[in-house]
Amino acid sequence: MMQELDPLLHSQLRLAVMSILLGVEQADFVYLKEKTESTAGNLSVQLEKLAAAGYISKETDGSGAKARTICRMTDTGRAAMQAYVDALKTYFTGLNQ
Amino acid sequence: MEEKRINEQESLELITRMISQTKQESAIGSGNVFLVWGYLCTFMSLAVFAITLVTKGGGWGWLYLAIPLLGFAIAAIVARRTSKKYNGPTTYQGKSINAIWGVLSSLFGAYASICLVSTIFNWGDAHVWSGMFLLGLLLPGIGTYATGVILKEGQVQSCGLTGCIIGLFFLREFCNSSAISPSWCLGMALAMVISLVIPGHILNAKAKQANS
Repeated sequence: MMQELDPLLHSQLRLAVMSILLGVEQADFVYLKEKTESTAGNLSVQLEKLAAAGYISKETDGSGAKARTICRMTDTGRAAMQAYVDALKTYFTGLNQ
Repeated sequence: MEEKRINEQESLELITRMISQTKQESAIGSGNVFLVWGYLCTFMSLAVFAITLVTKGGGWGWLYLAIPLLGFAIAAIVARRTSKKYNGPTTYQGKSINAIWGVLSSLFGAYASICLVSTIFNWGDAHVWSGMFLLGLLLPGIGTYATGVILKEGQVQSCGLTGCIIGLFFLREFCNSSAISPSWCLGMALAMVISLVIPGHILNAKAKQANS
């Protein structure tokens, strides 16, 4: 039986950000922007949504023009990604049979 | 990339693509740190050997103490330049490698502190400083081998292991004769080229290849 996919993760940009953060300890805003080929405004909004859900944590390193926004995946985010991938698998079960 | 809904197939492809892309980002710039310490130790070993040979006098081994002073200063400058050029993520691999080298550096620093205290309070002769030479021969090889294991780089592992074997040979010699001759500086230079310089170039070449 197919499970419902987490609507917060089932979006191109948010899923890309979560997939990147899954493989690293932390990544900064500029890196995420480059890798996802998104605009700063859009990425900022999506990061805010992920942070509000507790999937990622954001902190600012430094101040002024040199300030960097560092993002990390939280345990809640990791569990959500695990659940998302598990749910995704149910859509493909039976295809190989 | 935008905030748009995607189908299940696209989701799976996106997750796979992003994870594999991030994996390729491993250890960029880490080769530079190997090169700084490697060339510095090699140059200093050759310099001590040459000065000892020319002056026909001993005691020039103290010049080795300039290595940590210069090394940490240059490594900090190189790390700062690398971080300015590259805003990459902190990987779990990078964190593990830093932790390993941190422990090895601390061991080296701790032994140097013990030697310093011994010298100040006259708890032994200057011979205790010879241990620094042996640690300098063994620890970089261990660190390089561990780095190679974490990065799954067979060539880097081999270099580290070879460096350790050279170190073991000198350890055996030291235990046999309890003396360090000037020619050991050449052994140190060789060990540093194998343990640090070659792996540094290998890591930089791989990072360049991954990003081309």
